[in-house]
Amino acid sequence: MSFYLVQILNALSFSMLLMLTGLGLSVVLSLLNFVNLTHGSSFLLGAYVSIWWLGSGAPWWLAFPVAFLASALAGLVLERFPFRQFYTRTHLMQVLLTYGLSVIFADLMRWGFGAQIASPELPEILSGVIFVFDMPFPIYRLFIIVFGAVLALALWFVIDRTIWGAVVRACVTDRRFVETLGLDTKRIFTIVVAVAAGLGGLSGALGAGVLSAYPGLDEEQLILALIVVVVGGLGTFRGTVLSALLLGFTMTFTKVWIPEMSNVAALAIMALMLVIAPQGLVARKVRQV
Amino acid sequence: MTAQAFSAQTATAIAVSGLSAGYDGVQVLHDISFTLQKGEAVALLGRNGSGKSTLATALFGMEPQVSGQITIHGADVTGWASHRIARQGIALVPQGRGVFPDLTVEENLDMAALWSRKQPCRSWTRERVFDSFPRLAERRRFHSASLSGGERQLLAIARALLTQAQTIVLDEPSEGLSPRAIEEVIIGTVGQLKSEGYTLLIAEQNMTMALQLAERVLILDHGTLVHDGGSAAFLADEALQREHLGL
Repeated sequence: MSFYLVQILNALSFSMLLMLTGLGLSVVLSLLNFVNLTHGSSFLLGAYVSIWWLGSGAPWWLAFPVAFLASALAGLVLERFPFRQFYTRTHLMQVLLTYGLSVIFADLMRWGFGAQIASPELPEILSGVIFVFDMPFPIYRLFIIVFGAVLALALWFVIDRTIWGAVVRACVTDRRFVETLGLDTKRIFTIVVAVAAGLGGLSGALGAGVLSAYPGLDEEQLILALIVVVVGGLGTFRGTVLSALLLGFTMTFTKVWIPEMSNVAALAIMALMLVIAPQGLVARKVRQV
Repeated sequence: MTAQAFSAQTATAIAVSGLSAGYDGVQVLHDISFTLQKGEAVALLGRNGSGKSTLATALFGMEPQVSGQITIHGADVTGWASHRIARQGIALVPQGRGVFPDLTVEENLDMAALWSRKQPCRSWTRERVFDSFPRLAERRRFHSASLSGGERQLLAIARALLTQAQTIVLDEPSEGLSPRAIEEVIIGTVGQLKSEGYTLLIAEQNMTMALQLAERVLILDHGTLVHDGGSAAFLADEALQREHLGL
């Protein structure tokens, strides 16, 4: 019983990471119709930055905002050049551009942060375990669950309940009409791309405590984020959350029962979804303008 | 700078000269020139596909422009981004209303008021919109997808007013509306705006409706401006109506 409870908590913490990574990718894809394959690089950059920060002796909790800012800044620069020039190009051109960039970033990070596996020195408050009945469970994973849930709630609030969220939602429908209301959509896009990259970095910082950081993690995370987006459906917050939970639970429990099949299970879900419901778990309402 | 301040600078609201526009290699508008004085209400008539919508959106820099010059409230806005043109005090009520279906009535309105929120003297606020259009107030928390055609048109007009524009371009406002909604929303509300001194350019298929509001008529035929004159003279000239509007 307590074994399964611990696995459920594991699945939840994994789902949170999937969700945060998937959200950034999803919002850029639905708003700009832009396939950003450097999202995994944002994740890995955030992971490295937080590990470096946690080893530096500075206040530990700043590691997360710093990772967010580092990746957001990189996203901001990339949006200006060369992303912006590719928004109206075909998806294939976007894939070629951003995949190429992600390979370059992988090499740059290997050069800057080394090729060995790096793990963060977690502060005392986040290390150790608590006992769920009689099973030990890492405090850090509990931290991921709580932090992720709070962040998701805050994001939902911004997107669904504030006027700036409404502007972003309106841009998804038709950016040209948003422009005629006197709003600079180019600037809105820059901000959204930067925040999405920042979210990637933040998930990397959170994930580093369980996954560590190493060359190749960027690609692993990118694939997972893509699966989350495909399964969840574009332009829906709820879809991304549901899909992250579905994948998090499936992958965690496959790991428990048939460990070598975990990735197979995730990809099988994606293939199945593509066949039976290509628009995703939560289909966006069709435009009615 | 407010819309009122712009209007003080010049008596001309819109001046278009030698405008050609098109997309996908097809030229839709050919060498269009006209001006709208401040406070004028002008109908832009033409058959389906004559280029009315293209002209309406070209004013907002939404169409690839081939050549020509567009001046809005005294500023040469040729080649400007749409949001900068909008900030010159011109607003679009798009064809098919163009309200955002996933957004509530309130959100649609707040968005329109966003850029001008720091302006010292705003003639339209959300409160004034709700006072003037009680139907929008009743439905403020509804998604605009659930509104009737007339209500959506009203919302699109209210949104245009909230940008504090003094010049409003309406693209096929009567399209798909019931006769009653046309009477209430278009003749009633738009007529009210006219009497308040707004400059109006109304692109329409429904000639009868447009002429109830406009004192001047522009006619587009195959992307060329073929007539520019007073409404009364136009109504008297049946040959002109037959030739370019197929009436």
